[in-house]
Amino acid sequence: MELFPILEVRNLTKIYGKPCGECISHTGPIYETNICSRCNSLVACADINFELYPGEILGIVGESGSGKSTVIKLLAFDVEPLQGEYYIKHEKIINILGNGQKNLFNLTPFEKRQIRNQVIGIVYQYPYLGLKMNISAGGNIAENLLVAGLRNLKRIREKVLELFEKTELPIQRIDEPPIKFSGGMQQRVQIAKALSNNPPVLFLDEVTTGLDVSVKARILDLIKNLHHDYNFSIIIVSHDLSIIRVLTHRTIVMKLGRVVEAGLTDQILEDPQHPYTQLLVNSQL
Amino acid sequence: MKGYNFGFLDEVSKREIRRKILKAIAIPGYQVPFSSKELPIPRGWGTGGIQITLSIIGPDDILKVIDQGCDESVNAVNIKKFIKAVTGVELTTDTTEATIIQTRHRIPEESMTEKQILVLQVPYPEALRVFEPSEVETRRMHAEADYARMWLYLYEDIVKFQEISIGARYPVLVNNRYIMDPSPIPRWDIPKLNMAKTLYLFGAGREKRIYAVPPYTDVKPLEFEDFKFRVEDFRGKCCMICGSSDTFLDELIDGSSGERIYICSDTSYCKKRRLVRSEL
Ligand SMILES: Nc1ncnc2c1ncn2[C@@H]1O[C@H](COP(=O)(O)OP(=O)(O)OP(=O)(O)O)[C@@H](O)[C@H]1O
Ligand SMILES: [Mg+2]
Ligand SMILES: [Zn+2]
Repeated sequence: MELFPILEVRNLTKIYGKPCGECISHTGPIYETNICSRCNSLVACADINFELYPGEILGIVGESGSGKSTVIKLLAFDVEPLQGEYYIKHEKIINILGNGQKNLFNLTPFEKRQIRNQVIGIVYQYPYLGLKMNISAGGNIAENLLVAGLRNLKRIREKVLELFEKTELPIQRIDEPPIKFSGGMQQRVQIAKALSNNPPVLFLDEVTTGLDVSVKARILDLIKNLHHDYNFSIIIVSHDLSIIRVLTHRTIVMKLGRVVEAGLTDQILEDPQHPYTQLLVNSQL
Repeated sequence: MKGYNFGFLDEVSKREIRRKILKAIAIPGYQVPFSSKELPIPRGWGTGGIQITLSIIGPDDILKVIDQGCDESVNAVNIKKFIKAVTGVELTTDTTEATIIQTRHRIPEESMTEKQILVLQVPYPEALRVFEPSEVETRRMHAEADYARMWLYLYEDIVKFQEISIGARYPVLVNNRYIMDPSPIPRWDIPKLNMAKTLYLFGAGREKRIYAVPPYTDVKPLEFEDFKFRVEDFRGKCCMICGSSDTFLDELIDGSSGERIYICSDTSYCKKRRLVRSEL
């Protein structure tokens, strides 16, 4: 594994509602709530720190509502943090921002959109968040190429076809809207879209939730193969520990908006330290 | 008309509209909100264009008003009558004589000069509305020049229809910055916006927006490298009145024979050419 992380997150905090200033010290696993008793704001995540190394697959696990999707949405610039620092080291970032380290949360909307388009690929927990359901599947993928400034229809079509093949989507359905697709196919369209500009970093939020076992297994295979072929760095969110076990190198465990444990996946699954992780692991065995 | 200020609108209102026009000129293609005034004409009948005209017109101006290229249509005549009544300015049908031309759905065929101003009436000023209903969101897209969804709209159109199905209101990129609705002019007129000598002012009364293309501004219709913008195809057709084959033609069905016939949409230019022809 390489020495320097490709992605670093420091002190990341997101609060829904109007924070009172003491929300963070009144919430979390110790208080068994993510709602501030003083001002009723919801601390979706707080004081999150982690790094992602080149080629690594990092897992985020935790029960429903623990803040996993919030972290992903923050990193994709879909929502704004209350505070936090966010760095990505990659030549594509230098192309967009020039040299020097910049907290990505402080960029202009234009710069964020470029990074989102060039550096980050994302698959959302719910396909309707990542896809326009009434626009053709090909168009959904083409959108990322259009954002990147491609204006040649033939090349756009070729690239979309290539992504269709890569994600094992039936190419004869390229001009149909995803609303007509099965859940597994919709996730594949999201994956194809995420890969469209060869991003070095991928965020996968519950890619297999709601899919039946055989579809789930094929999607996992696809992710493994793509990771093998492209060696991007991946953050994968799941509350399914079998996925975490199969795919990830390291894992962070979240509860009520906080990281309660982090480490090598094998160690966490074999020898969980935090009582909450022990509960998670035991309940799923 | 007695009891009214010159140009019907009071001076304060005119000044406000002129300020908005100046802002629009300073930011080519950007929609400037203005407080649309009440006129004795219902909104949707060109009140945006009329307010612009009334705010910039002076006693020495010569006005031409056309509707879909025609000087004599009811709408054009009514607007002309109203402006004449509240200003007393001279009227003309000759494009080259007019200092201000107010128009709906056409740009005159004859090329215009730096000394003229063309005022276009706009029903729907927002080019992005075809795919985005939210005003907050379209404003954000303009502010951030985030136009991928417009391109996606064109992509989908081509995938579905093998062509860009937008006829009138073809979206253009102004000054390499803002996507703009050129009002429902035919594609034929779009190239006239590019590097034009004349100032173009656009007024939407109901939607309370003013925007502008100043003289010598780059205006490009949106197109793909391998799927180019094209104007309407009139090859093999000509005006049955003046014989023109290089003007925008209206298609009509001849009542008695049932055949398709074509005549110039710009009626005053058609008349001029007929005169030239009969003198030859
Ligand atoms: N837009 C919002 N407004 C208010 N609260 C929100 C909003 N989005 C999320 N939350 C709250 O933030 C907390 C974290 O939500 P998040 O979606 O990140 O959880 P999660 O770990 O992804 O859960 P799941 O496993 O169910 O997907 C939850 O309590 C949720 O209700
Ligand atoms: Mg979630
Ligand atoms: Zn609080």
